[in-house]
Amino acid sequence: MVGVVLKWISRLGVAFSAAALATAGGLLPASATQENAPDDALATNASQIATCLQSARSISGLFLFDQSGSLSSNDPDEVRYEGLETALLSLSRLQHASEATGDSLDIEVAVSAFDGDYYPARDVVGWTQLNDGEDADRGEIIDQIVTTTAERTQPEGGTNFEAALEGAAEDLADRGTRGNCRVLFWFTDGEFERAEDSVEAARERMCREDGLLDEMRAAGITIIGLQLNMEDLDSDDLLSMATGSSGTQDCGTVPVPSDWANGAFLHADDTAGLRRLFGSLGNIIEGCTPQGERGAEIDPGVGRLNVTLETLEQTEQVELTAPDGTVITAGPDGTVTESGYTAVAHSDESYHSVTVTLPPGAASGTWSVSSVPETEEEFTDWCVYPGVSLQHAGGDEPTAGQTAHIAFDVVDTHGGQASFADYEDVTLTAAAHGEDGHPREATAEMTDDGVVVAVDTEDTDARIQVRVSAQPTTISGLHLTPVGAEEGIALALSSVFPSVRPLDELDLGSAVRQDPATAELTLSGSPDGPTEVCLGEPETLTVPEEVSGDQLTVETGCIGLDTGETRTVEVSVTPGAPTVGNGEADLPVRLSAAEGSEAAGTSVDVDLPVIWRYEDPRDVGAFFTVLTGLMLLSVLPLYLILVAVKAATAKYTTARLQGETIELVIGPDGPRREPAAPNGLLLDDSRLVPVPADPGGFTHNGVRLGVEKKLLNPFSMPEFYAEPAATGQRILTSEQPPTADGSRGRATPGLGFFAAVLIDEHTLAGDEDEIRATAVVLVTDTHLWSADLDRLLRDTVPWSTIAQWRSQAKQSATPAAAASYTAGSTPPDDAGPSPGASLTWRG
Amino acid sequence: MTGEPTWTSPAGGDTLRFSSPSVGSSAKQWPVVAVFVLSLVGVVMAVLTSHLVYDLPGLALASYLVVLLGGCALIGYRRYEAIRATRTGGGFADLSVQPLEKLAIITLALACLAHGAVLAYEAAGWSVWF
Repeated sequence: MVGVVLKWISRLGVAFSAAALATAGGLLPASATQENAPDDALATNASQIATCLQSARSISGLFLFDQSGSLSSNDPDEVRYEGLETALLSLSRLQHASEATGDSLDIEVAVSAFDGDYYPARDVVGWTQLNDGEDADRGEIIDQIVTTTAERTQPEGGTNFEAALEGAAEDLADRGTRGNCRVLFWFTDGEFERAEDSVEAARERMCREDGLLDEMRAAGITIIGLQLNMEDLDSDDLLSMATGSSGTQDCGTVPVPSDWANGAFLHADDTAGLRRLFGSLGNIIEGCTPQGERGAEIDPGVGRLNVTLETLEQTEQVELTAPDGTVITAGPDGTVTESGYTAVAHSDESYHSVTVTLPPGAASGTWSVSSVPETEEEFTDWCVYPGVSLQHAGGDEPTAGQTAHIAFDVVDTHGGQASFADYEDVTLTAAAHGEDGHPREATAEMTDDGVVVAVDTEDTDARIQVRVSAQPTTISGLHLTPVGAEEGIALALSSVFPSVRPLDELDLGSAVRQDPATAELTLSGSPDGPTEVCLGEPETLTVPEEVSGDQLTVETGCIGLDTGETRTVEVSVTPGAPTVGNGEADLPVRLSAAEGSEAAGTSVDVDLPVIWRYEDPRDVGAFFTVLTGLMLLSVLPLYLILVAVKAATAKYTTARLQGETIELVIGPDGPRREPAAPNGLLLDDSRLVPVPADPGGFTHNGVRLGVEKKLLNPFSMPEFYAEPAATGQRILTSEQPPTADGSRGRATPGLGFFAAVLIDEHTLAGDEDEIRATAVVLVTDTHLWSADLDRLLRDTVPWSTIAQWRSQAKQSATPAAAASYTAGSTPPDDAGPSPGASLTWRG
Repeated sequence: MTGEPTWTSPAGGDTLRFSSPSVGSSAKQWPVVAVFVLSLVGVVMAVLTSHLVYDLPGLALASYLVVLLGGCALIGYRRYEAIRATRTGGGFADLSVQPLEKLAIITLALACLAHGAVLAYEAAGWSVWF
């Protein structure tokens, strides 16, 4: 309960500080509680990146993570990494907004870090495309990014903003291609307190006119500052660096020029606010305009809306009721569709966000929202999107030297034809410039289908660049984020010139890993006579750092064209290494007028933009295959070493090996030596002689000692055995138990004392009371005396087995005779519990 | 069990062994226990190095090699001792890997696998695979 109260107090604190900053600076204190911010502050400040996204083919988001030591206490639970995951999920969904128009948006992210020094993206998380593959793959990619970031940004050291921003600018430098939007998400919990010389000097260098901040804004890099723990700060450096001014402190050119990238600033004073802060990033860069006091009253012309509920615990579901009565029930995460409304939800214990795309012609009016568990209305934020975009309509090529009318269609979020009719007002702006870099007179006017931009072109304009923007205002006066488009337009020159197509932009497509990207230029000669097209060396090549040595492959020089002749020229690029990012270059093209025409001797120069995309798709399947393979590989050495150990130890002890071979007669009284020894012993140590032997296995006097190594099974020991070297013999050894058929006996690797008795098969079936046998004795135990050896031979060999063998042999030969071998007497020498003690010979 | 293994009783004299002591009770036990300890320490090291593998990849690799080579050396020594023990006592036909030793091998394999997971996660991210 106390915790809940503290959470509300903390939340109110955030709201208060947001309101205070808004009042003091008139800027964007976009904390998690935006209801206190000016109505359209967010839209104004985030409009540049949102507008950029509408005509972009890619977005590069660099997360600059503070890893200073203070994070150990300010964010001990490492909520920032959960926030990173939320932000990445939001970014990965950006593609869906533009899918309807048929355009694809490549979303790439990287993570770098700073404390007293800067740690570039290549050392934390390099540029990675988020929207490769299926949704499940995106989840895996995001998990990988978050895990790697957490591993590589452990807190230590101080906070040096200058090193951080210089490093981030460098990491973003090779992303500055045409059609790419660059965003820096700069997260910190501290303030500028460390620099090469002094903080004041470093701040002055960064914030002066034409300083680092001006350079970044002019280059179109949007900086979104994410501040944790603002209450403890003595300065507003991040606020001023992100937005240009904190009210008390300016940074860079203020106000930020309209054609530069502006920025945004968000802060949170606790980890719950931090979660919401990261969760709101998707809305910011997409240009979601806060409804402010309008709350859930949605005007006509809104195509998409977002509602974010601040919660004290994880909500199970949010129920939205549209003005037409449609009820949309969204769970904690995922997508749900109801009567044409598509809702995408994500949440955690501190917020629940639902973005709803409205169907075409959806009714305006008041929405209602409820959640389980319930959330108070005052902690519910609404923001809206226009739901339309501008798309070049195509059509015939305008003619150079005349007024070109370039049409742009208004398209809704589903890709269908739309209009601006639902808005109270739409402010149109247009701009154009030619290949010479000089502006051309351009005006925009609304038509029934969309917008037409009229551009006064010159005779030598083979290509112009046109930009159009429309800011809709709803019937209640809400200024929505401008929608815009930027296009290169090829113009038809006089017929005396050859033509090159395409001339607005040559898209080579994607260079996947190290496969080349290729496209063709079509050159067409003039109908008025022979002409010439000259291709120069590609200029202003911009590629990711990893492939800085890449060059466009194109046959440069002049190509003569006969009257009406058509030829093609191949242009390609082959990546030097797999990477992610955009590539672009300008290909100088000179078109010379037909010989004999009135314009003979004149030419038109055009820099043809050539663009391509580097892709290095993360094959999640390959990743886990490699992961599994490498894990198994880590156990393989253990297995191989165990095999080697077994191979090395599967050997007999042959050092000091001695032995004797004894002829025995085995009768009812047990074994006796033949001829008998004077001392009456079976075995006498004085008769032992050295035995040469191979540790791996050897044969000695008719007994073969071998080893079955069983190398492949790590849980088994080798099997040591003895067997007759000749056929027609059975073997009985001193190791128990004997085998039933006497073909093989057990042995021990140590050979401390080992005896093997060989018996001819044919003697077993004979009628004699006594049978002859040969005992081969091997000894390595030097502590054994004659008496010990004799007793061991008598007592360790299971002599009674011979009786069983004889019985079996008799039964096989004459089954009736078996009865005479059934009962028996014990042998005379029965000292100790020896196997021979139970010798049964006959009754 | 120290010194030269013999068929005579540990007390010496004329008494002979005729019983069949198992290898498990005759061979030295401490290498098996040491494999257990090394494996458990190895698992802890694997968890610790999982956070350091980027900064100190050598530490994770060194820890893996210590566990692998140390564990294998101990198991090898245990095998050598088991075979050496067959020079004493009688009836060592049951020369086999004891259940405790099997468990030690499994524990060692898990420790190696834990290190393998740490190193493999790092290495699987290298672009060379894709």
